[in-house]
Amino acid sequence: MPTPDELVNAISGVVGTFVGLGAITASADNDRFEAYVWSLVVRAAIAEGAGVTYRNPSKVAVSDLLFRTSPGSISSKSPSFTHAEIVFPGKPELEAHVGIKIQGKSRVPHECDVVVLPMSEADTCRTAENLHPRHSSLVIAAECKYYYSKLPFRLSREFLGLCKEMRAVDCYFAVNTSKESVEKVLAYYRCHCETLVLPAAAGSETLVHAFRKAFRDFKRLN
Amino acid sequence: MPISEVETRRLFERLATQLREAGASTLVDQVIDEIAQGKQIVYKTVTRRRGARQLQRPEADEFYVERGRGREYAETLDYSAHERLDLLLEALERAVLDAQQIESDLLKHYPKVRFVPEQQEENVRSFELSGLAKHEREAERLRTLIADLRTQTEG
Repeated sequence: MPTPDELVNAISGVVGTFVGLGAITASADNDRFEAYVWSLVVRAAIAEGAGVTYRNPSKVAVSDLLFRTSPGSISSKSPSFTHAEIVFPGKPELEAHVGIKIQGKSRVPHECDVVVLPMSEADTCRTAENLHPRHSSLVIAAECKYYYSKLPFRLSREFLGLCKEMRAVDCYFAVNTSKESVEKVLAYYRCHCETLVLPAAAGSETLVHAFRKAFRDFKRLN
Repeated sequence: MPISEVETRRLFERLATQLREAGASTLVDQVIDEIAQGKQIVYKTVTRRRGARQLQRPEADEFYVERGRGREYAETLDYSAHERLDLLLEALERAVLDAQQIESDLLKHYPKVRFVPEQQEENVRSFELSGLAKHEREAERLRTLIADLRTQTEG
């Protein structure tokens, strides 16, 4: 059996290999996680009976996905970022985007990691340069955080701020890890908070169920 | 038998230093921040001293209102040396194993996923999913090494 020091050396060696592959880069890990949560939104929509097509800003269907590394404007045409077109029969069409800005209650644009909004609102913003969708149009706004350690407490304050600027009922806090104090604060304010959102983990299942409920409510109201 | 507190602290320092040298400073920084934040909050009821009077604070909310004879205070607990080392090992699992799992899941549903900056002048590099998913064997080796280290330190 190797000694603890030998194990530490071996662990560092393997980690070095992964760092060489681009792993353990906070920005890339967050980007990947946002794409994952976006894919859960898509799965929830399909489970609720929607047809989903992946499109670029010119509305051309695509199979390869292209996402932003940092939040931008829904109206940007180049690069051709991908969104999911979600169609429930007989209902207004929706779109699911990653990393776009949304105009909050204060009329200031905020970065939103994963957003579902009506296609009509998206079209209005796309026809003009740099218009941002309004918070009142959102069906889902998910704030995604990928952390290596437990969640820093400040994230609960940041999310509460987002809930205040959007409609709290549309906001979801999706994270890969957990922290009792963060969960406690968000539970106190009745926020949607899903921890341990990972493939094959209960958090992903619960989040998909929460998104499904949002889509069901959308169908009932439209 | 679990190794001593002092020895666990030394292993933490050694692993943290080596991870920084390997280019995983962000991971170590996050763990250090968590250690500084403390483990959890517990609530202790402190009996009111006889004759002590509460100051008038009209702006105070319900949590500052004394109930009965006791007052409730929040206390943050510190992580032990073993818990600190475990935080570092858990962080490694999330950084490599969980990230790989997410990537594999995405690639199961979508043939190609790329990330690029919206503005060319952004100092962010583009990347494509596939780098992690191909390295199952290295990930499995890391999983085994972490499990072995846990066994040795926890006894």
